[in-house]
Amino acid sequence: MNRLSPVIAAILLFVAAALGTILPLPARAAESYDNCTGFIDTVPATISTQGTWCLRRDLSTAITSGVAITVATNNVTIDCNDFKVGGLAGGTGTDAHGIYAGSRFNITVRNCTVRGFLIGIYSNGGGGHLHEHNSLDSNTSYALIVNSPGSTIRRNRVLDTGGSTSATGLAYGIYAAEGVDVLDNTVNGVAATPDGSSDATAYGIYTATNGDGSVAGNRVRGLVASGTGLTYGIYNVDSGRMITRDNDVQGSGVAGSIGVRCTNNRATARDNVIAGFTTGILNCLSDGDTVNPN
Amino acid sequence: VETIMKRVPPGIASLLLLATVLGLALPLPARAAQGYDNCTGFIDTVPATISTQGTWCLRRDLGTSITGGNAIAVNANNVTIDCNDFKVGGLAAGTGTIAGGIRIDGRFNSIIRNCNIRGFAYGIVATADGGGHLIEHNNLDGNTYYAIIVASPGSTIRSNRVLDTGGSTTRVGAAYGIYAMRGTDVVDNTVNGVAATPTDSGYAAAYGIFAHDNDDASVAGNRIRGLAGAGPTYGIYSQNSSRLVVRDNDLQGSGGVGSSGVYCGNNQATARDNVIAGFATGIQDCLSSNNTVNTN
Repeated sequence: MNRLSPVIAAILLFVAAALGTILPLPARAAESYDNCTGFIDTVPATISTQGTWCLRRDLSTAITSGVAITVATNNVTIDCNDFKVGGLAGGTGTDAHGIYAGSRFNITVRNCTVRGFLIGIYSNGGGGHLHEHNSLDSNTSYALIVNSPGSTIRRNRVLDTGGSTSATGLAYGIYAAEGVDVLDNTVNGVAATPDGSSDATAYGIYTATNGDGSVAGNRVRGLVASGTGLTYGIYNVDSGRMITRDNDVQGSGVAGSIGVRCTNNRATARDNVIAGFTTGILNCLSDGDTVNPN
Repeated sequence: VETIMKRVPPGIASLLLLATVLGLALPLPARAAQGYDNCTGFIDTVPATISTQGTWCLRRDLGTSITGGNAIAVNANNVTIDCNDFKVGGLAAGTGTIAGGIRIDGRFNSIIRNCNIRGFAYGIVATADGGGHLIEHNNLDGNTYYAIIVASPGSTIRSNRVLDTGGSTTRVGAAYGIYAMRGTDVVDNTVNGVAATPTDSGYAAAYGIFAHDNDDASVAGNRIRGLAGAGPTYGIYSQNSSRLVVRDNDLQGSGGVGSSGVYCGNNQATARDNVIAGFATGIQDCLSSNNTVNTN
């Protein structure tokens, strides 16, 4: 400090002191119910009041249609506190959904374990949703569908999707459309039940008209095809100016498989690592990607 | 500081005063106020077996001197162990212990979180016949053989601190920071200090992260250093993990003969954007892209 201008030193002290007052420290608590507006203790349930709705125990249902938790208003947070919303009892023929929001805005779904539904978490229309830190396991057709502009899907674990006997031939880990960011998720295991032609195609992450979105930092693997079906790591339809970057995409060498697919080169793929696909990158503008052909 | 304050212009001094007042008056964000609201129950003594789904919490430090078996056995699916930063301690058993800290045997969807696990031969173990586990934000310190072993498909080991692993007197010749199998991601962990007790012939290998049959996985964003021993040291060692992706890791060795930063076994595995320093061989057998190997 001897050689530091007093004014500069004072400014540094001021900044340090001010930062100490305003920067959030990391939260490190087990889950608390302090901010819960109310609790979801049974399913099926419908949320019609804004606020944070919490689980405090594992929940399950054997419904084979409809929805376990319907969000019927805006500005709702579902915080499952790591508890389960289970639908496995509906069987592989289920058409039921786990958590659904139709034409709503600003819905957060957090810390949920959603299992055994045709669609695990589903939002259609509306916008501004955040789905984070969820575990989606053994959902039979889609683990997540977010078709809502300005939404974010991040840090979810999407495991073992597929197996529906009511919607065969295709299975999807994450389906995002209309301007959705898909960030830092793990998609491991997608395998559809073969259709009447004995074909099954698996999509790790599928985006549609998602030009105002990024698919970044995800890990995609465990894709299984049958018959003439294919496997796609990240498949972008009407991709516009979408950005696909920093993803790890691993296939198993299925003939015709594609690691990252764009509609055309207005979409950008950068710094992805892609291994085990017949075609590493198709149609995108590729910059700095590593495609392992071995 | 006093000298500085005497020479500070009055305007600046006023700002400093304001900052100090703000620092005293404004509430700080909540930190470390552990909530137990979602706890299904509490683990108050060990050894313990969890046979009911839900979130099982610690509310105090726990210790045991068992030399075999496990401090906490998870015997149901969908179980979360949240230690709330408390300790599950096994140091009292000594370096000859073959006990495990937390063991998940043939179960699915376990979460082990915020645990401070010390002094076991095996800190956290998840066996091959389950899956979907999440091991995060734990501190593993002074475990004597393996700090973390996860052999369960679709699992994730992330944001753990793995310190000073090794020293077993019953399991000699090798020590492992993290051992991951069958599709387990290893992301954003720190492994610092791995050193095995040598065999009678003087051999001791140290592995920061060992990936075994781990094709469908990434080893990414980890920091590995402090590997020591009378045998080879490996930052990240991949065995039969053909399409493994190893990226964005920082690996620091100490220049040991025969040491390897990233070892893949074959070039179906990819190493990218790693920074590797202080190993005799930076990258071995992987398809290598854009890595930095510092040979100085």
